[in-house]
Amino acid sequence: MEQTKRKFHASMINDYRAFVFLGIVLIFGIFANNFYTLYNFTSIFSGSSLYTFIGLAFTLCMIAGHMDLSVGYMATMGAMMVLGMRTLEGLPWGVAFLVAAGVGALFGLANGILVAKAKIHSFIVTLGMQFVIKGLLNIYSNGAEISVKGDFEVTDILNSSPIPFLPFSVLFLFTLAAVIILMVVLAKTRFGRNVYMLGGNLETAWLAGIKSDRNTILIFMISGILCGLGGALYGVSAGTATPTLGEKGIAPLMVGLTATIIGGTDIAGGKGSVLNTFVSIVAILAMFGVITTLVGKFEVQILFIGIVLAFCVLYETFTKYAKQKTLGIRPDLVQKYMQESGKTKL
Amino acid sequence: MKKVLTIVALVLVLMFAVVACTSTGTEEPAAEETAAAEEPAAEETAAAEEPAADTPAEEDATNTEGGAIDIAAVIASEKTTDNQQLMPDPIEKAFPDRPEDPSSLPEDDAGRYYDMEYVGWDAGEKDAGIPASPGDGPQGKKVISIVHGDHAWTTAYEKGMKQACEAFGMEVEVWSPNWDQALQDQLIDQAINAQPDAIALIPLSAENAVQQFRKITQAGIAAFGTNMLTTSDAMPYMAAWTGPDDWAQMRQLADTLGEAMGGEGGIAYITHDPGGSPYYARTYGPITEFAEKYPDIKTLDIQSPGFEAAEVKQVVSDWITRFGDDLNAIFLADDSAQATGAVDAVKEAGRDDIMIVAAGNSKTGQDLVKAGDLLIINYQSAEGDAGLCARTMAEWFAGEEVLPVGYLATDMITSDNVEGFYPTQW
Repeated sequence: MEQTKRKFHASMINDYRAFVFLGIVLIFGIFANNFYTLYNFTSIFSGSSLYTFIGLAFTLCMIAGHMDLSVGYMATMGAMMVLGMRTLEGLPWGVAFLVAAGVGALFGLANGILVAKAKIHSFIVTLGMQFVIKGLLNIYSNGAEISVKGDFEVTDILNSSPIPFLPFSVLFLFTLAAVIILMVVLAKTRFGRNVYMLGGNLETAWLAGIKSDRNTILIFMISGILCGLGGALYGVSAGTATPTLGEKGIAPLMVGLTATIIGGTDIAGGKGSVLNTFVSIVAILAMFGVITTLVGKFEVQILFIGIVLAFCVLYETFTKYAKQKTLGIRPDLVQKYMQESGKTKL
Repeated sequence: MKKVLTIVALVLVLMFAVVACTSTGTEEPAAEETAAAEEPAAEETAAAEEPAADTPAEEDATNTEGGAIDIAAVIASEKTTDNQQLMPDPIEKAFPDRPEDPSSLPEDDAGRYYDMEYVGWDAGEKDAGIPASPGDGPQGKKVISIVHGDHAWTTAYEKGMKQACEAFGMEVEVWSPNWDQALQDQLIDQAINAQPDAIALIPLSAENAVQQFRKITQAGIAAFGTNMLTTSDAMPYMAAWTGPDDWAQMRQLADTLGEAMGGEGGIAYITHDPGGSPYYARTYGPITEFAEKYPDIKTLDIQSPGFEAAEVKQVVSDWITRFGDDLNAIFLADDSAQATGAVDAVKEAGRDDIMIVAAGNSKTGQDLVKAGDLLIINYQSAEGDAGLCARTMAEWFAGEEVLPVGYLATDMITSDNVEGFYPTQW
């Protein structure tokens, strides 16, 4: 296939907007007190852990053309499960983590079956599932929080930085590993290609022999496992978990969703990058830090997230509209234009 | 893909370069129990080497030049919006012996909640990581106050904190996570990163507070708990805790209500958010008090619909239908939105005989007491709560001995004395 060297233009900024966003935040960080410190970056990276796991799960589903709105509550469930199994049931940490991931997989399986087999829209399925999980969590914990009860050994390990002079806690290294594994899976495996094909065009995927039901169920199960593990890691690192986690502030679901959109994942599916989602989450967390230091107001954080999200959605909508308009009117001219300009895509 | 990796590499290199530059000069971290504790200690060392404006040496100079503040005079002079004392004397509380196994006691036995009601008094030795008082007074000290969330109460609290800190010559920033646990954890990290002289925290969760206060203390910063009680495990990591004695106040409310009910009847509860200390105090405070003093007052139901008037109204309407004449009283954890919803439901059902009491003293609550819709509320000064915390910090900075747990003075507000508490704080 002939490759044409791409020139720098506006669409490149759009393609790498997560990095541009991060760059802008890092520049503003110069004006914030103590922003460029080892402690602050450790805090930003560690703080991004829960959101990253949720963002990865959300991005995976969205690339496949689905929405998983239950990711936030599945993460809460992971946190409650790991602490419940350890503190209330006295199981070893390893088993507790496995239970958290396993329960996440179970709820993912339920989501997947309802979407793939019962043909209910994922938006409806996962919207309902989050309330099921919320109810179960409240029944399990009697509405109360569960903590490590003074057993801070694993908490301290997760929050420690094993590499001197680098702002990477053990918690963040686990998160980074999850990002890299999912990147490799999506880029280098048949399953990864299937995910993109399912999201891009379901009919074409079916004609290509992709077992869409099986893959859809697997996608939701992976989403559940990611959320279960992410929640479990967060719960242990924080030392506690409550059934109301993220209900009143900027919910982890909203941060994950925002990062997915900023990262360039197409709402219609078929396009997206977990790396971009991850970078967006780090940028959002860094932005929180800058805004808190400069303004100190929570409302401004919400405002800025809203502005960034609105800007990305507007830009995407506009470019999509322009593309469809051009393609619809004179497709032959588009071909000619691309040949002349040397662009590989609009 | 190559382009992406190149950009990632460039960004990481840039960040590491900056981080490495800012970390230059970091000495060997102080010996700490855990690796997690090493970073803040190292940062603190680095920060201490820089000629920051708020270093102890310069504060000494400021104090010498400007003269030490008369803490007692400041305490006596400052008033709240409702003309009460902004920084009242903290109240000590006598505590009985702890039951052998509180969790084995029945739900309506006060002993079951011993570790919550008397939290802190028997929490043992303070953690060795709590820094020693600088002993040079509050002037010029930088304080970060992290509250729980945005609310009219919090606005009054913030006003009180700023007024009190300003009076002592302390610089204060108030940060709010808007009720989000994860965000509060992040704010604590950011507050530690800012290296203030003290952090005052209203924890969102009693259990999570342990790790939050532990983190602050491990960073070598003085931590002060305020307003919301934590579990006993968190207390060793605080220089002091101040706030309302919710349990005692709820028992007082219950006593007054029990008397008004003639010692018998059915009562239902609208609770605070499950999990936090107000949930237990404002639900099981009255339940245990009734069980002990008015055993013929029976609990009909306990619901947690939150703080939306419409939700509360729905729950109360359902109760009126479900329990009929057996419902004689309602105990609310909040005297604003919850009270509005409950009063509306009772009025619509024509059940003016149902007595309603509520915790708190907002303008809504006081107006409802004045109108005769609420029987009693309890005076719990939001500004005074913050003022007591600021006073405790100031006294600690001055090297004075402070109570490990200092309670806020309180009062009961009825239609007889409600006029004396206007204008309200929120």
